[in-house]
Amino acid sequence: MTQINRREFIKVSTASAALAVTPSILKAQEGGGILEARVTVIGGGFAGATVAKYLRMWSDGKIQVTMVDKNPDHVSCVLSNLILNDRLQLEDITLPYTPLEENYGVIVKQGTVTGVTSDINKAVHTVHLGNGGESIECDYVVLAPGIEFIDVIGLKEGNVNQFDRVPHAWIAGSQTELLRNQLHSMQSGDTFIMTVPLSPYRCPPGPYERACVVADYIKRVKKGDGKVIVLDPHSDITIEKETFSQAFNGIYKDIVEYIPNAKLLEVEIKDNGDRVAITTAGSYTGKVLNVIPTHKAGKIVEDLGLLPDGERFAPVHAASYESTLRPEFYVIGDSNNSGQPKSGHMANAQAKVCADAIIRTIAGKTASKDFVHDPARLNSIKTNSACYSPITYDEASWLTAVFAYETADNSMKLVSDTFGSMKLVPGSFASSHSPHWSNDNFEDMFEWANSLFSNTFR
Amino acid sequence: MKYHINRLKLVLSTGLLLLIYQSIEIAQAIDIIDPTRAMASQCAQCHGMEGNNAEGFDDLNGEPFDEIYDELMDMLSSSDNELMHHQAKGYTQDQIIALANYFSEQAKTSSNNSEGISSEPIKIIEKEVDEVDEIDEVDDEESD
Repeated sequence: MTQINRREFIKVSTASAALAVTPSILKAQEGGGILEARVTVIGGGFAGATVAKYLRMWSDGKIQVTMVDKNPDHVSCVLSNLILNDRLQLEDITLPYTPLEENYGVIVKQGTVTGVTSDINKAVHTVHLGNGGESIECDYVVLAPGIEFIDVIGLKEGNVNQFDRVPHAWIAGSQTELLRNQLHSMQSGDTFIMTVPLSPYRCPPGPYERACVVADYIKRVKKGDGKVIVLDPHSDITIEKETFSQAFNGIYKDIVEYIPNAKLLEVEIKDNGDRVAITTAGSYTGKVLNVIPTHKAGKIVEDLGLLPDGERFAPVHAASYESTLRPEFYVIGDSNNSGQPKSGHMANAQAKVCADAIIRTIAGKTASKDFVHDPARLNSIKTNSACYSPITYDEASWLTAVFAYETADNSMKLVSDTFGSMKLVPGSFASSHSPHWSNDNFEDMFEWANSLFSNTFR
Repeated sequence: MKYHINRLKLVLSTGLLLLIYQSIEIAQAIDIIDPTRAMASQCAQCHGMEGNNAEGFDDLNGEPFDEIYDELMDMLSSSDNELMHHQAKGYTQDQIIALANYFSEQAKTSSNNSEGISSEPIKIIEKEVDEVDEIDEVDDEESD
């Protein structure tokens, strides 16, 4: 049967780190010529790490890049649902920043950004770090802070914060382990309730994937003696509908209950420890409650005035990811409203377009030319999305799409026929449960993730 | 052929920039203006950086032009529901020519970089390998 997977994944992680050939160490150079500039990147996730790396690599080390993150390393959300069923440990998806420093000369600083001030006359921005931290002067600021959650009554509002009892586990790390521990301590007949966030949200298949991973765990480890209730504010499954409805109504039909049109209104924790999710489709009580609240752009985006009133995500120019509200400030990844899926893979994709645009802006400034909107470039701007979702203990599905720049309305548009998800032709899936998931994909999932980790962080 | 004409145009238009900024190297100026580099970087999430993949999906770097071009063109017209077949449909024939040219030419530059710094293996992960080997041996016995 399938040889796997985690072992291969880890072997590959080690091998690729050893084999990685980098284009010689990049050190800050004196007299960078037309590329002499300083960029500060706020946030070291998939978007931030990629833009920092590619700015250094593509400028041959001439652009000085400082990347600030509040954590010493990055815990990947990609693959993090596999912590819940012990397929992976947290350290397997913890990605250090040292390779970015050692291989590319990115200056990495740990800290929280409290604000950015701009000197209009000198066109210099100063990024301020909290707790008496230093100030970083730069010419361009890239914001890649990920997501923030919108308040939920009884869960997080004002001084109330119950995420340590009702985890979101949607920013990987200790939250993921907390949810894992709650799942593992469920007793016979206990119920696991989860809420799907309102679109657009990070990782479109993620909540349904999580429901599958949890249901599989209950089926295998708890001998099927437990329930998963999926509360979805949408009228139907938002993505890979055939795949997930086949899983919920097929292999998990005795475990998963899927409730559409269930918008979360309030969370209540009872004296006996039971958690209650009060929704527009009724109240649901369970032992574990995993609320993934509705998202908005990371707080710093709003603090800097890049978020229009009443909007959840920052408007950007699609050719560069420069904010439409503040020049020389760029917003990449989950925080922008570019209409593309919010995912690690896509954040990496956007970061490369952004790095290219910043380099062209810097070169174009000195040359008094607009290299950013060069027609040959605009016609070739692409981003792409690809992901694998575990459906059972050792099977996964896939999903993919390509986006291209549309000059007519200056936006990124899905290219026709590029959107697809796994579906085998009838007859070719005799050995599998379903045309929508397979062992092979489960193995490919680790190859994809490791390649993405490597391209982003090493 | 078409690609080479485009490339020539690129070099000529770059000339203006070069006249003004003698200090910058020709290769770098072309890289800034040539949109292929950024487009090709979109392959790296799965195929490794600059097409050098240690992870398992197909290598692109240094592959013959014909191989990359033929394969992508087949996928472009294919109706198979495969992940990469969907991806290929995101590019025009001209873009596929540019990508095939780009990756087939990368071989020359990558060999120059073979003495570059490689990152250290991550120690935690190294340690994990043994533990997991044991788990897998148990799995293997069960599946037998």
